[in-house]
Amino acid sequence: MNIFRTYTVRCLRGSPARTLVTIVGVVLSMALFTAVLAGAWSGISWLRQTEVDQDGAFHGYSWGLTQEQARAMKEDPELTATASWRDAGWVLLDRSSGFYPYLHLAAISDNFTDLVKVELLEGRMPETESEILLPSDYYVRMGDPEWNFPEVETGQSVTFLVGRRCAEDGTPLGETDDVDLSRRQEVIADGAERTYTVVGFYAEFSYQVNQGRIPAALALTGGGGTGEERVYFTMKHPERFEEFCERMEPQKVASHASLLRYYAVLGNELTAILWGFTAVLVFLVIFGSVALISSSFSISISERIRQFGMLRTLGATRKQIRSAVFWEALMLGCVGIPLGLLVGCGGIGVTLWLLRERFAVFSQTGTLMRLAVHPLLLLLAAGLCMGTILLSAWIPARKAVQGSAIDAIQRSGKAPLKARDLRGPSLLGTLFGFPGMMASRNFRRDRRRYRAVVFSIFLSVMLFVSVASFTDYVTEGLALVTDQNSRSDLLVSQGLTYGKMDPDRVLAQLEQAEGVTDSMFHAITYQDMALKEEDLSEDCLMGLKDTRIPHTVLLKDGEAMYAMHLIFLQDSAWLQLCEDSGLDGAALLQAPEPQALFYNRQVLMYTGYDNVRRWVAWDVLSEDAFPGTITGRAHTELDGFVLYKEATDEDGISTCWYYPEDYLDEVVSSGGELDESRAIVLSGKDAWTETAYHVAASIHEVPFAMRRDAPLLFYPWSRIREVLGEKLDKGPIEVTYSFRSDTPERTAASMASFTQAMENTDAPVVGVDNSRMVESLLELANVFSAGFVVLITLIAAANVFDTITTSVALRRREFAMLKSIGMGEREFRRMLCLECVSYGFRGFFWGMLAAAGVSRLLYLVAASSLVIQWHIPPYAIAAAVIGAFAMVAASMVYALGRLKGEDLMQTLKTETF
Amino acid sequence: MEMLRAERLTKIYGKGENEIRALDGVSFSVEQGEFLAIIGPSGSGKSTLLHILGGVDRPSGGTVWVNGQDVYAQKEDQLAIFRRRQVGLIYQFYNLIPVLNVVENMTLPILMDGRKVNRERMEELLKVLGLENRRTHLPAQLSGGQQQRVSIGRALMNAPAVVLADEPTGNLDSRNSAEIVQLLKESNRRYRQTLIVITHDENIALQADRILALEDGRIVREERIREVRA
Repeated sequence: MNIFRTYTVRCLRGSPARTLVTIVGVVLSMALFTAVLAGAWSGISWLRQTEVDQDGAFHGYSWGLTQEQARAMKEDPELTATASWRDAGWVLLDRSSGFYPYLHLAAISDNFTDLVKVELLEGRMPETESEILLPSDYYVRMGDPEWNFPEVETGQSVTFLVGRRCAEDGTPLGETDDVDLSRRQEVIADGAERTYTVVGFYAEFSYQVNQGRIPAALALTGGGGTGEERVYFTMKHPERFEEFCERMEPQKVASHASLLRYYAVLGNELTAILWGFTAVLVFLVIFGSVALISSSFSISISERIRQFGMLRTLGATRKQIRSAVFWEALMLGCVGIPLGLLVGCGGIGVTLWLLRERFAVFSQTGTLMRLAVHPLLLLLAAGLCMGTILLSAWIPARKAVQGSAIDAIQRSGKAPLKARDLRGPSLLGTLFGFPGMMASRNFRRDRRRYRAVVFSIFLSVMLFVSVASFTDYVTEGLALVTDQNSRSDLLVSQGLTYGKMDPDRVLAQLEQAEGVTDSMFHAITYQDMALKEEDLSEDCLMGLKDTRIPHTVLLKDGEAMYAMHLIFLQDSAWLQLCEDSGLDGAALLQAPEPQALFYNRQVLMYTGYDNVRRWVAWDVLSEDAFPGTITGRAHTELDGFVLYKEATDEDGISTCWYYPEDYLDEVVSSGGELDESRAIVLSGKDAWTETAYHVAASIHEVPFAMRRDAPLLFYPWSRIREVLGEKLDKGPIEVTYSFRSDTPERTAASMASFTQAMENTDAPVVGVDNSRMVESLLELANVFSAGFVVLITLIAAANVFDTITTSVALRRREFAMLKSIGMGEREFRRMLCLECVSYGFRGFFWGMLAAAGVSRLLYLVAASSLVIQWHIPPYAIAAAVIGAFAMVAASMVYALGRLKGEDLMQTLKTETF
Repeated sequence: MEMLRAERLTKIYGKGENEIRALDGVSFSVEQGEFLAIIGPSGSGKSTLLHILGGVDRPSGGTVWVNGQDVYAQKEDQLAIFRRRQVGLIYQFYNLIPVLNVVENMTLPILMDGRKVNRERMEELLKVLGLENRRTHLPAQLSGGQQQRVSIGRALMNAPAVVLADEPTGNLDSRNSAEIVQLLKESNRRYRQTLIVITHDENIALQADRILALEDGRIVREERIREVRA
């Protein structure tokens, strides 16, 4: 081996602790690079997989192909797989409706489901020509008199008149021709009766699979077909999709755009954001790694700078010295990079595995997140890491050959210390005497080296605090946003005539749908409430009087008029709410007067004059107001009369004009004048009817189906008659059934069969719950940022450890000298402790300053879309203080431990190196 | 035959008020095989002169010729090769590489050159230096005298034109000092190597062929003790 390589290997072996720390640094950096890149790649792969699970793996399809063209396409070397369907005829089901008159039969190839997702709602895939799989569109319209679709069930046979789709004049029409009954009549040519066995129903293809070109419901059969062909394909290089289209006659090629955008083919912001985010992280990792590895190298080099000088006096060229340093870097890289690769893949793999369910929430298909590793990306990570190491080595390598050889020997490559370097007031000296002065001088005499320590602490503190405040902003902001929404995954609403139908029974039925994890029902009515000013909480009163905060509450005559929701909650849910709030629900339910629970919170979001969006939240009523009554106020209602006009005089007394309903209709429709003598006029108190609502207690939590940003009154459903009285009979009351489910789509599909049988009900509404997504997002953000901070902090800790232990080792002689002139063990320790405090404080101070800046920036970015307040979480500051000083202290203790075993006087006598 | 010539060498550190003239127009020449001792008080510029002669530190002015070659007319890499092949340097503090063993330290200039080690010469040197049983020891495992002998071995291994020694016995006891001087003289005689030694020890100086006395960066005295053997 070349003598320089031998020398390097011996040096590495000679100081195992330093070599280990440097390798740990390399491992951490590589682990971070790998984790960031593999994480991003897993993200992209997961996004692709969600699309594949949703619609299939095809990249695009071409339609209207002759058999010849289809064959040529299937043999195209650019394509890796193809699947196809062939036109197997048209059935004209309903001539009167222009919307979906046809059933189009498509004979699919055996491998069709390899490329295209067919979601079976019932039954199985067709296997022969005489088997047919019908679409959900058919299922829905079956038996509907408006449509003329024959009713069938899985396993039954159905006979259709199958033929070619033609215009009346015989012009053949295909799947791209719209139905235009005003322009032409259409007929089925060459029709023949054919009987099929229905093997099941599938969910209608999405736009991605079938871009709405066919004016028909699409039925699949298992073979046969003689008409035009449609070929779905995957490509060897999806990124060349556009070139391929140009070659293929672009008008006949459609893309699976939602999938291809994750191949960055058709432009996608999400992918760009993901990669952008990754780039920022990679940059941060490079930043941290260069800091760590270069400081580690520069320390190990400065330890050896005299040796390099020596080698140069003996005739080593600069190139040889430099290559020795690079060789060292290469060796450390060769050990650290593979280890880092394993650690990184393992770390991110376990993280993603633990979070796989969380990711599934984001995809409608429930696709699980898996670790995906791309060899090229690993190579890129290794390249980046190696680049970082070489860059880190380059800096000290340059230093090692700077100046003349004799400089290196005599001064260890450092510029001579000048008196002015040490000048300036020393707080430590003033406070702690000689040890303090020495500590302060030590810092000043080699600022560059100690800057590495300060910088490492700075970096960890800054990253930790910034990330903590960012997570806080997001948590707060999103929590407020979700306050406005209920946390239901699925809603079914029904207009219900009181007494005719029992919502408990309906709910019991709906609950049986697949995947329901929680359910409840409630009904809502509105009521203006006059809250007494003395009952309002201080915060609320101040807020309502603050002219900067816009709100709709009228504050007048010692009263605040709130438009409030009265919520009639399923009894069991109401009892649960009582129990959650520590109340005796059973007793309240049986109380002679219906008792309400008051959700005592109001959240207002507004944009201030300074154009900054803010939010305020307060308790509406003070706790003294409970239990008590609140007054509902509504215009007096007169049977057969309608309130037409209202006027308020200077004293605030209102007068109302009521006209007979029939008369008013008549005059308004004929455009005549109203005869005031026919009006009933009510004034002052008579114009208003007041109702007392008994409120048992205030609560601060609501069931999952409720929003949380406005005051609410909760009554049990069983007391609705007593609360609303005759109002209940005036018309149907809207009851909402809310459900939680981990698979809302599936639950909705399963619930559809129940809702079809229900009166006055629309299909279930899915996807109103953002909070679950927000929770998942926050958890993901927290886990990833925590992981990132931990790793960066580890890097920084390694850095601090490295710098401090070396600086202590390098000053061995000096320590010996100090001891020899009478510095005691205690003073010696004190001096070192003060040095630690000095580094820790500097790093912490600058780190906090930078963190405040970053946090402010993050706030400004976040405030544009979320209503939040700028702050730095105190726990983060506390953790940063403890962390910064602990890091320094631990390193010092270690270094001192190493010094303890040495005979310092012997060190003093030795001048060799 | 003239082996080394210094012409009007100056070395200035610092600028303006802080300017220090370590060497101030030093000129002299040394014959092949001559043993020259340079003496002078601390700070007189002896070590600076030696480093400049060895191609280790550049002069502020003047030239150095070794074996007919203008040393500082060479580029940095050529200068490194010059140091490797033409000069053997011996320091007071040995300056051995702690992670290399005796043989590796001794053969370092040859290994750096990528040449093959002359085993015969190495064995001879080990024998002469009394290091035969220490060949795989690391510097930390050797006494001061032994370490200095290794550094002499390193200086002689390459059969350089000039051997420069800076207080080679400054850190050794009298017995070791005598041995080292004996070794240097022996190599000077046996290999006809030009030897320049800096010393403050009069006994050593008096064993040289010629003595140069430096003071404040100038040659203040030159004394020939004996003629150089032809």
